Amino acid sequence: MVNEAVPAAFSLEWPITQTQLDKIVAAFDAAIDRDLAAQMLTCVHCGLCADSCHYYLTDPRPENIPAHKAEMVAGLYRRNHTLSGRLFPSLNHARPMDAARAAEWIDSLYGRCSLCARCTVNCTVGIGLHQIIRAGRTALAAAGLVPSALQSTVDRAVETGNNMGISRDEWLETIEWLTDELRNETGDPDALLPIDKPDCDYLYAINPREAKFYPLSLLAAGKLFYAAGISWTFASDHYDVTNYGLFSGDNEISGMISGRLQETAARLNAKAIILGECGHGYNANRWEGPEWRGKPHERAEISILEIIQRSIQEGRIVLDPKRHATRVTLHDPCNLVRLGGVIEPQRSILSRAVSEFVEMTPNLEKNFCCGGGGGQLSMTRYADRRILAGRIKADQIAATEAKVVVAPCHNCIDQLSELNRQYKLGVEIKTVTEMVADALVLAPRSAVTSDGGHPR
Amino acid sequence: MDSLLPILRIFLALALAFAVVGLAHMLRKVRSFGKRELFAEANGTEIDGIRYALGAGMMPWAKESARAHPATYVAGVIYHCGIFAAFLILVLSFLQVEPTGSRLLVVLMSLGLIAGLGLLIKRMITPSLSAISVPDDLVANLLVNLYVASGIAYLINVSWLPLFYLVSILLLIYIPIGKIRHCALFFVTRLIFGRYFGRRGVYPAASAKIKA
Repeated sequence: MVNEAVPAAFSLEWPITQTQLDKIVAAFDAAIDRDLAAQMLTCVHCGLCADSCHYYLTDPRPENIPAHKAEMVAGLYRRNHTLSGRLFPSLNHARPMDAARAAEWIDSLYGRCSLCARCTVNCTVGIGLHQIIRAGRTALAAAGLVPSALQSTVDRAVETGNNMGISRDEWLETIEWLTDELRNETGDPDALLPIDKPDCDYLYAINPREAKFYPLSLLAAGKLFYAAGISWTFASDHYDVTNYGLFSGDNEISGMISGRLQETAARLNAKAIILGECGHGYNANRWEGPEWRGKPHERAEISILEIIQRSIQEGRIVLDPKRHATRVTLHDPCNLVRLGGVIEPQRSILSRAVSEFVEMTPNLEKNFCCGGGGGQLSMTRYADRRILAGRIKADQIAATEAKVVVAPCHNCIDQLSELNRQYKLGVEIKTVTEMVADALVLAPRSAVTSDGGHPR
Repeated sequence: MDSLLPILRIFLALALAFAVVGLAHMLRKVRSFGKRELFAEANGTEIDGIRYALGAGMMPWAKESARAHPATYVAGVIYHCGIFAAFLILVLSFLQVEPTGSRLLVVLMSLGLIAGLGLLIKRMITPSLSAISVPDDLVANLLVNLYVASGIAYLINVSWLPLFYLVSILLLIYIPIGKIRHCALFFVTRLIFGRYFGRRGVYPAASAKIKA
């Protein structure tokens, strides 16, 4: 059903100049490689992608069909780079870029897509629809046409080192009191949440929302690393795993933000980087980061889920599943699972950490987006659409009859929390790390080494 | 009409050459954008992903879009079978070879034609589909339907051969201009899909898991 409350069209708050239009075209051309070019000529308009999109399923208007969004972008390619597009533009909507077109792009590419790629994996041809849409965002970003709320999140990360604008003092203070909590929980006066500790195995990068709103999530990770005897550290400056440049489309800024983690790990001489539970952070850093930077990462970047899984398999941590006696289900963050390839660890962990685990339907790489990705959480302009699109996820959760929803992504957790309230799901929403920390059976203190870890 | 056949054959050959050159030019243009070098360390293999994309990933149960719309999927498959059958007939007639099993081919092409018309009707009456349709969708479908229909007519009565050639010429000229170019790009796109998800370790890994 069409929700009439959802704004039908994007209204421009500012005039789009010819210079901006030229920049869109130039940046779009620069974003095209041969793979993208081929994909932009292949859509047959079968329309079967519509049912794979949570926007269309909850608001079945043509603008929400993935093919419509991607073809809007591909039309510019056809117009400028194909003979038929130049000779017979009306044959396949090969339209030139103008102000009205740019406004449509902004509304559709930012406001009606979470870049979840569910349409891509369900496309009958296999077109990378999400890649085409992101290329459109890249073009808009070059012209300074990113919705202001999303752009300010990117700007804050660039200026302050983290997208929440947390000051260094605030961050250090948080770590200090969390260290006290860790000592209380473990009963070990030497337990530590290390910061700027050189020569560790891992630099741990987190979503700054954890520091701001969910500090106990950091405590959970600290407890887990402590129990597993992992050599790790936080950084006092660049510890932000998020990278909203992935969503704004600005590849240069994205590369700079991703590079900071590598540079920080190098400064601290950490061997590798643990990426905290953040779906887009994983994709942005692990997969897209090297492409934006134009070189391989000097240090490996690993999801915390892989570290936890390994710790369980190696017997470094012991879990008691009886501590989670209620039914638990798992949300698959799109950027971590469908686009990241981290599929098995969270399932393996939950099978050891909880008593009753049920999958959502569909699941794995076919799971639905919660609606919080693509920068949607920061773009308040589109909040109504985001909540409406999230209804699919709410229905999935309700169907499992689970009491706990585990989501290895803090953005997803924010969206799921809103869905929980909006659709009265009555569930608890947690990260994998929190679930593991709660199920953790701490070893006797005698087994703990002086630096806060277990002997190897 | 028979006197026209030699001339139509020449035009048919020229149209085929136009289609081939047009598609080759299109692919050359696509390639001219260059291959982006990838730097992220792979988590799976591209070859496994490609194998999945061109194998198990093509099965209807692998894609929700096909599972949820079995009639459309089956119609699409039958439509393409009819088109390929008509192409076989075209090649044989061009080589002046009498097709064997023509009754079977008539059945196959007739089913293809029905499926093609069905898909056209679906496009026109389904609001979401008609909303994303462009003139190219209509032109391509009508041309292909006409091509299959004239192929059937030729198989029933050889006097329709000139019409079959005429429609085939138009179709071949249209291939690089409109959406029928997907005959060349479909496999390219599947390769790209396989490479992308293969190196990220998504496919075939995810497809091996149980989807409760």
